[in-house]
Amino acid sequence: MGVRETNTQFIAGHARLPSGMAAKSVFDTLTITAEVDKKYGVIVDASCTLATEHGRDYVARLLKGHSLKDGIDEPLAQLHEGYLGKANQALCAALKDLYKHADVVVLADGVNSLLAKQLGFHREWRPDEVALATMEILKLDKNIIEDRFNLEANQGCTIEIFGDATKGILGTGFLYTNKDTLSIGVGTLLSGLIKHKIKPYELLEYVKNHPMIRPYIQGSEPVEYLAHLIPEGGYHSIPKVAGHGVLVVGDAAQLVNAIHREGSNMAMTSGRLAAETIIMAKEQNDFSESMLDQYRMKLMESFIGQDLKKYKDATHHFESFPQYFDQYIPMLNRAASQMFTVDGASKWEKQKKIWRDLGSTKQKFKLARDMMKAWKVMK
Amino acid sequence: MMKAQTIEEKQYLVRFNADTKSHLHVLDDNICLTKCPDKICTIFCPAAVYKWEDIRMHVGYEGCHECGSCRIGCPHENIRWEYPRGGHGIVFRLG
Ligand SMILES: Cc1cc2nc3c(=O)[nH]c(=O)nc-3n(C[C@H](O)[C@H](O)[C@H](O)COP(=O)(O)OP(=O)(O)OC[C@H]3O[C@@H](n4cnc5c(N)ncnc54)[C@H](O)[C@@H]3O)c2cc1C
Ligand code: SF4
Ligand code: SF4
Repeated sequence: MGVRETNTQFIAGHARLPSGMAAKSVFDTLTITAEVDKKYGVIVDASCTLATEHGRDYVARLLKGHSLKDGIDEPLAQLHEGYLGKANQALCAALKDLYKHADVVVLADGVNSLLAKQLGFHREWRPDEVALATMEILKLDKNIIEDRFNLEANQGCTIEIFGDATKGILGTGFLYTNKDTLSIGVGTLLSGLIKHKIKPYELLEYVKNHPMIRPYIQGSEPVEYLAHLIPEGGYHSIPKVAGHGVLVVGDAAQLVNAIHREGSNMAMTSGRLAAETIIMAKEQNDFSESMLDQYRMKLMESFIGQDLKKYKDATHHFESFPQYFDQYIPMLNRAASQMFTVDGASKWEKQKKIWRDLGSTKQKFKLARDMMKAWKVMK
Repeated sequence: MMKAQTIEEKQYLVRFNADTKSHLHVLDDNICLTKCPDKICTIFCPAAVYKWEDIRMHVGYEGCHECGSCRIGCPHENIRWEYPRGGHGIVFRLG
C-alpha cells in the first residue's frame, strides 16, 4: 500500500452499554466512529456499533454534515431527544467521548499501529524494519539466582549475547534476572528469519542450549512463553509523526534504539513531548499540522532524535555484511573467552594465539577494514 | 534437560481467552499454493498458528500472540490481520 495523503481523519468515541441489549452480545462497549474533514471539521461519514442497521443509519444521518468546530451540543441534543432506544445514554456518552478526542489524538498503539497506517502516515513496515523477539520466563529459586549471578538482594543483571547465539542472523540473545525468575530471549530481524527459514522457537531453544548459556539457566522451569515485535528500522524508518489533530509516539513511531535495545524510555519521553505540544496547541487553539509539527522538531532535538541519528546506518550496515555475525563475532567471543580463561598461558601468548586464529594476512586485512567500517557506524 | 522444548509445550504455558471468530484471515489459499513455495508463515510464526494442509492454510488463531509478524512477513500481503475483539486473545501473566 502506498502512502496516501488524506483530507479526512478518523475518530472514535466509546461508552459502556447497559445490559440486556442486542448489541451487548457482540460488544461490551458502544463505539461511534466518524470521518471528519481535516480543514473544516465537518463529519463526512459516521457509523456506530448498534446491532440494527436502522439504528446505525439513524445515528449516521444525524451526525453527517455537522462541523465539530461548532461544538457538539446541537447533535447531542438531537440524539438525546431523537433516539429513544435503550442505548440513548450510551450513545450520548460515546458522542461526547468522540468529541473529546477531536482536538488531538495521540497514537500510542505500539509496533502494530494500524491507525497510523490507516491514516497514511506510513506504509506497512518491511520485514527488515521489525525484529521478532521470543522469550521465556524461567522460574528459579531466588537464592540460586543471587548466588549464580553474584548479586546482592534487589540487584539485577542482564547479559547480551551476540553472534553465534543467533546462528549468525542479525540479532541478539538476552538473559536478565528478575526476583525469582529469569527472562531468556532472542530477537532477530523478521527478514533474517525469512531469509534463513528459521523457526523462532527453535532459535530460542538453540540459545537456551548454547554452552555459554546453559549453565546460567540450569535447573530452572519455564513458566511462560512470549513473542513480540520490536521496531528496529531506526532513524530512516521514523514515519510522519504529526498531522492535523494527530501525534504518533513510542513504538508506533519506530522510536527504538536497536543497538542498545531502548524503547520504553523513548516511548515515555515522546509521550511527554507530545503532551507539551498539545498544551501549547490548546493555548493557541490551533491543532493544525504546522502547529503540531513542533512535536517532530522537539523529538529530533531530544536525545531520541540524536541517538537514532547516531546509529542511523548501524543495523542495515550489519545486515548487508553478514560476515560480522557469521565470522567475526564468534571470533571475538572466542577471543574473549581465551583472554578470560585461566590456564597458565600468559596474556601475550594468548594474544599471539588469537592473532593466529584470525587467519592469513589477507584475511586479517579484510577483517581490519570491516572492523573500521563497523567502528564508523557505531562510534 | 530443560522442559518445554517443542512449540506445543511452549504454547501450553500461555493463557488465551479465545474468541469464537478468527481475527486472522488468509485471503486466498491459491496464492499460498502457487506463489509461496516455502509457505513461509508456517516457519516464522512464533506460535505455529499456520499449518499447511495440502491445498489450504489452517489458521489456529486461538494460539496467536498478536505479534503482527504474519501481516508484515507474508510476501504476498495475503493475510488480513486485526487484533482480537476487546477482552479476547492472549493473556499475559508474568512477562
Ligand atoms: C523482549 C523485549 C525486550 C525489551 N527490552 C527493553 C529494554 O530492556 N529496555 C527498553 O527500554 N525497552 C525494551 N523493549 C522495548 C519496549 O518494550 C518498547 O519500546 C515499549 O514498550 C514501547 O512502548 P509503547 O507504549 O510505544 O508500545 P507498547 O508497549 O507496545 O504499547 C502499545 C499498547 O497499545 C495497545 N493497543 C494497540 N492497538 C490498540 C487499539 N486500537 N486500542 C486500544 N489499545 C491498543 C496494545 O495492546 C499495547 O498494549 C523491549 C521489547 C521487547 C519485545
Ligand atoms: S506467507 Fe502468505 S502466501 Fe505464503 S503461505 Fe503464508 S499466507 Fe500464504
Ligand atoms: S500475529 Fe504473530 S503469533 Fe499471531 S499468527 Fe501472526 S505471526 Fe503468528
